[in-house]
Formats: sequence, structure tokens, C-alpha cells
Amino acid sequence: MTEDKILLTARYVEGDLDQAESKQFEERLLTDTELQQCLADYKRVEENLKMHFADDQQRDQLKVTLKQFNKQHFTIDKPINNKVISLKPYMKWISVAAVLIIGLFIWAPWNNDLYKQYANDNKMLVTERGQAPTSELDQAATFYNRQEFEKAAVILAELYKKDNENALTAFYYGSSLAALNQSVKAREILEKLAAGNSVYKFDAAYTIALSYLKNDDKANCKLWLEKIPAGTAKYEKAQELLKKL
Amino acid sequence: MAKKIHEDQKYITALLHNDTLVINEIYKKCAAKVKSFVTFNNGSADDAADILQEALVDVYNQAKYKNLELTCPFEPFLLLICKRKWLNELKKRAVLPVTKTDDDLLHIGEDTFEQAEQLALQQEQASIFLKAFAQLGERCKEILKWSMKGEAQEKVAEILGVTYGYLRKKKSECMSGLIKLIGKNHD
Repeated sequence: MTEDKILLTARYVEGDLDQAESKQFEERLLTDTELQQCLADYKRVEENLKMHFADDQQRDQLKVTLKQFNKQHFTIDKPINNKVISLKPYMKWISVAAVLIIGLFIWAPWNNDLYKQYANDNKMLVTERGQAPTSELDQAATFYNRQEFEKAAVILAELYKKDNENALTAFYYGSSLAALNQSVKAREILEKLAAGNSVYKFDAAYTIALSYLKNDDKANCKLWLEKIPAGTAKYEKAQELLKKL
Repeated sequence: MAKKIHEDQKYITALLHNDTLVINEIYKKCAAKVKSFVTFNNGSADDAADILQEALVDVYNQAKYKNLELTCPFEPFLLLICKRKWLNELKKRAVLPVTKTDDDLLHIGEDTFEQAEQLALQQEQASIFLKAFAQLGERCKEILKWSMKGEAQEKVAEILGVTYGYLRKKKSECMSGLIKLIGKNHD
């Protein structure tokens, strides 16, 4: 009997039943679970056949699309792999470069540049004193302003020996020595100035700070920069430099 | 019973409409994962590409011919289908069984498993049906093939050189024959 039902269902779906038969089928379908199953089976098989045999241009197009994406996403694979491999030697050099750069940061040679940038650019002005322009102090000033510190220091040393209370001589002598990297002696002179009450008090402190910067002694450099109070000539420069340190 | 359709249904719609932008999105999300799964399990990148393409066409077919409605997220669904496909392929190739399969599936919801399972069953069913179809007589095969192409049935009758009435009758017979064959194969 089941056999009948399968064929009957097929004929019903295909429109091969006449009106009366069709109506009767539908009525039976309401209660006949076996018939319901037959109809479900039929639909399922038909769907599958359609899925397989349909002239599905959309599907063909989709396959074309998928092939393209396959190329993009799967075969690029190889060059990428090559790149990864070829990157390895680069990585070695990149690491070396990184180490060098980090080392450079620790060594920080541009602190010297900071020194140059912030070095005391005071001009030694002495002529207004009305003394003969050929005086020793005048000569020293000329050398100092030309940044010939060695020559300036020789003259200033003499003058300082004669009168170590003269703040002007002391300051430029100390500054020249600092410029000549004779930090210890320079500081000795300048510290005395900084402790005193002359107009060079804070210029001296600033110069000491920079001499420490030159020796890469940041702690002392900061210490001396901090001694320079607001409102003095060197204050702004000192603060700026402090920030950079 | 009607489950809420997942918002990722958009990917299925994209497959149906060959929407390259969204399909590219699918590839971006899934290609690398399929590739790593397949290549870690005795396959090549080309195998992975084939698997993903097949899986997407399967999804397309289910959507177009069986109204597949996604009730779970698309990505794990697709990946699960790909994995099953690749495992089946390995079985066919008689390669040793895969060591790692399910460890990364732990977070996948029941829904996804169920839906992927269903798709796998459907595919299996389809191959059973096709086997039965191969056992049909030549005339039946011809009639059914033509009927399924999607043309109007009147046109099919014309192409086959028969009347519409004859086609209906013959098609009913062939279909019931096929269904019976499937039943017999199944027993």
C-alpha cells in the first residue's frame, strides 16, 4: 500500500492528479501521517536533485568569486612565508641596531650638545672702565670673547693672583678654566664666587652646573641649577635645562 | 520551534547574491584559521582553499535549496563545517587520524554544533540520493535532470519532445521510483 502512496504523492505534486483526486489527496493528508511523511520525503529528494542538477548561474558566479579569493587568501601565503624567512637576517641587524640605539641613549653624547647649547655666552665687557684699551684685562676680554680661553686664562690667572677678590676677574678666570676642562680648579674659584654676594653669584652657579654637565654629572648639574632663583638672568635657561635633564 | 535567525545570516545572503565585499570579509575572518587547521593536519594550503570553497558552496546550496536559516554565529559554524570536511577527506586519503580537533571548539555553542551537524547530514543525504539516482534508467535520469534545471516544465517537455501531460506522468513515476530506491538502499 505504501507503494501507492509514494506514487500518489509524486503524481499529486507533479499535478498529474485530476481535480477530484487532488482534493481527496489533500483531505487524506490532514490525518494520514504516512502520507505526510511521503510528501516530506518527496520534497526532500526533489530539493536535493535540484541542488545537484540546477543550472545555477549564481552558484557558478559564486564559485568564480571564491576562486579569486582563494588565490588572494591562500596562495599569497608563499611570498609571505618567504618574506618571513628573509626577515630573519634583517631581524638580526635590527636587533643590533636597537642595541646600538639603546646604548647611544645611555651614553647620550648629545649631552655635550646640551652643554654647547647652554654654555655661558656671556661676553666679557671691560672697556667701559675707561682704562687703557691695551690693559691686561682688556686683552683677556678680547681673547675670552674670541673663545681663545687658553690665552685668556694665562692673563686672567695673573690678574687673579694679584687680586682674588675681584669678582670680574674671578668669574672669567673660572669660566675660562671650565671651558678648558680644568673643572676642579674652575669650580674652586667659582664656588667661592657663588657663595659670595657679587653680581656674578648666580652666573658662577650656572657655570658650575654646566661644568658638571660637561663631566656628565647630572646630579650635581641639577643641584647647582636649582640654586639659581627666579628673577635672575640665568633662571630661565637653568629651568629649561633642568627639564631636559 | 521557530528559533531567532542570527544576525550573521547576512553572510549567507552575501553568498546567495555573490556579494564580494562581504565574502571577502568571510575570507579575512576564516581563511587563516582554515589554513592553519588543515596545514597542521597533514594538508596543504591548496587543500585548505578547496575545503573552504566547498564549505561555502555547501552553505550556498543549503541556503538556496533548503532555506538554511542561521541560528548561530557564522564563523564557528563555517569552521566546524570545514573541519568535518577535512577530517572526512583525511579518512578518504587514509591518513592517520588527526590529533587535535576539538580543543579549540570548547567555546562553541550547542546551536552551532547542531547546525553544522545538520548541514553535514544534509550533505550525506544528498550523496545517498545521488547514488540512488545513478541506479535509475536512462530515460528517468534524463527526465529528472532536465526537470531540475529550473526551466518551466512546459519548456522541459518541449525540449524532451514529449507533451506536458506525459512529462508529468513520467516524472511522477521516476520520482517515486527514485524514492523507493532510496528507501531500499537505506534498509
